[in-house]
Parts: sequence; structure tokens; C-alpha cells
Amino acid sequence: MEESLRAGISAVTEKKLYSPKTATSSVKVSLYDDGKLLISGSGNTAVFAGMKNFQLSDDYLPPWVANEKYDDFIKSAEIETTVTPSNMDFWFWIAKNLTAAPAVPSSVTSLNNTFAGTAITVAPAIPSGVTQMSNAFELTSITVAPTLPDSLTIMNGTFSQCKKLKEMPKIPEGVTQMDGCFMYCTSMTTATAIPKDVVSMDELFNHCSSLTGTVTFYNTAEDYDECFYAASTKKGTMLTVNYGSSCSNINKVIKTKSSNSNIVKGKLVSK
Amino acid sequence: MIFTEKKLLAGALIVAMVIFFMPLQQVSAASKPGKVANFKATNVTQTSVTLKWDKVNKAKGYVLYEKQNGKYKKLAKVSGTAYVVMNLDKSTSYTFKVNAYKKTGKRYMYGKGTTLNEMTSEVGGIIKSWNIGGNGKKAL
Repeated sequence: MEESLRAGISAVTEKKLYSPKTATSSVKVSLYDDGKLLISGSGNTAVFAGMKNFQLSDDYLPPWVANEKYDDFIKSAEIETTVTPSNMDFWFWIAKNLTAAPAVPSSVTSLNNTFAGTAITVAPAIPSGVTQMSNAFELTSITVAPTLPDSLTIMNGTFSQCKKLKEMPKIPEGVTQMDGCFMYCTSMTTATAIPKDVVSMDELFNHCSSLTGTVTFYNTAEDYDECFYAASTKKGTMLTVNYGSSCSNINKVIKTKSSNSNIVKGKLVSK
Repeated sequence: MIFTEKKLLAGALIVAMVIFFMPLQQVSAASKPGKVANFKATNVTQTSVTLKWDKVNKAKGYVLYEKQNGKYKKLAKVSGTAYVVMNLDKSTSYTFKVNAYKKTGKRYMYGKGTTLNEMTSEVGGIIKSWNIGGNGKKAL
């Protein structure tokens, strides 16, 4: 998977990577010879969208990430408290030797792909204003999910392939997108509830083979392909799927399971 | 008679002792060097630091110490007001102390110590740096 994430990134000249013209504050990123990445200075930062026309593009990645030589060298990271980024998308993307996440500044609202593919085992605290966390912890070894803020709306792939994650966190009421959110979380044994505003949940619990207990859907999702594919397949698992009155397609959602999934329809529940 | 001589001898001895010790006590109290002022670290690198301080009036020299495992270990005795500490570990915190001293005859007299707490050596050399300051808009 790591290789496939890397695919599409090729060597580029560094001057293409970012534009100093956007440098309207003093924030500087320094990579030291001991592997420390220090983000210093003060104020907001430029945004690295990572993609152009829905395709990963080196030109849009942070320069220390786009160049594999630097990305692989990062072992630790620190963000000075005077740095107040609003967006940390891709900041530590596939920094495979980064073992501990730095504290995330309270100014941050977007954490898409931020820690994906790193070696962190403990998730940092998520600030109260964060709205997007797609793929934020994908492919990491975290065992406990962070508390998710009420501001959160988009969490596609947030915990995808977190194979050591034990429990599903409480999902905030404002979340609308959860495609692949827990895909391949093979150690996750517990599930919580899917809020009523979630419209997209393709592959939500895909390959969550240890899921057992109860999950409740309060939403009527438009997209739910392979939501339960290969879920609850381990010996001894049994997942009961309850549903709220606002969920009108629970039978179709359950049908996405595999033939060897131990999943049954539960009961109508009120909030 | 014998008693009187003994008394006289004892009295003379006491007087001699007072004469011998009194000036010494006065000298020692009066000439203890002062406390070192403006003790600071300059030229901090990954592996070395230059310690500097102000000259103390009438001090013969200075003794520098480094705190190791809670105890001060003597680093050097110097006559000047600067010393380069070598072989530091990078990104490590150090505490140093300096005392001025004076020598009278064979006796050393030390002033009060001045401490430089938790001086940190350089993190390491910068391999590469980027300016990413911005206003929250796309970099390109």
C-alpha cells in the first residue's frame, strides 16, 4: 500500500515545489541532521493541497514530503507555539521514520493525510476547530483513536488500515462523509453509531474482521458500496446492526456483507 | 613559684595565639573574592560552548564546574574570563557554575558560585530549510 501511495511521485526540481511569493509570514521549516523537522517562526502557512485535478502532484506537496530523500529522513517533528497554521494537509505524509506526532496547533482546521504512513503509535489531540481529517491516520499503528471534535464533517479513510486500532471512536453528529473510514481495521472489535447526516460510507467497515457487538445507523446513506464486505468474519464475532427511524435502507447496507460475515439485522432504535 | 611561672606561660601563649590568629581571620573575611557576574554562554554549537563572565576584582582566577548527575564536577581552573567547553553532546542541556578564587600564601579563598542553568547545545546542523509562510491559501 505504501508503494502505491508513493506511486505517481517522481523526482522533480525543488524550485517547482513551492512558491516563495506566497511567503507572507515568517514560518520556516528546517530539517536537521538528526532527523528533526522544526517548524518555526510565527503566523499562518501556505497550504499544500497535495493534488491537482484529483491526481497526486509533487508540485502541490510540502517540499520536504515531495522529495523522498527528506521525507524518509524525518524522525521527529516540533511545531513552535508561535506557528499558527490553518491547514496541515500532507505535512508528514509517509514520513515512515516519524515515530511521534507533534502537538497540533489549535489554529488548525484541516488534517487531511497529515500523519498517513508514519510510524506513530499515539495519535495527537485533535483541536476543536478541525473540520476535515481524511486519511489523517491511514496506515499508522495507533491503538487508540483520538477524541474527535464536534466540528468534524469529513473523515474519508481517516483510520483506514490502522490495523492495531482496538475501538471505534464516537463519531460527531456533523460528519457527512465516511468512505473507507475504518477499512481494514482488522483489530477493531467495537463499533459505535453512524450519525444521521452521513451520506457517503462506501467501504466503511470493509475487512473489519473482528467487529462484534452492536452498531447503529441513524442515516440513509446514498453511497454504501462494500460497506460491510469481509467484516465480522473472524471466529466468535457477531455484529448486530440496529437502525434509527431516519435510516430507510438498512437492508441494502447489510447486504454488502460477505457470505462468511457474522452480521445480522437488529432492531429499530430511537435516539 | 612554679604555679606563677605556669600562669605566666599560659598567659603568654594565649596572647601569642590571639596575635597570630586575629589578623588571619580579618584577612580571610575581608579578601574573599566577590561573586562572578554576567556568566553567560556564547557561540553555542552542537559540540561546544564558550562560557564568559565579568572579571572579579582582585581574583586570581576562576574555577569552572559542570553539573553531572546532580553533583558539580570540576572542569577547569582558569585565569581569564572565558572558557571553551568541548565535547558536548548535541541537543543536550548542561548546567555550569563558576567561582572566583584568591590565593593568600597557601590558602585558597573562593567567592560564591554563579550558576548558568540548562544551557542547551545546538540541535544539529540544518540539512535543508524552506520558507512556507503564507496566508492559508494554496502554495502554488
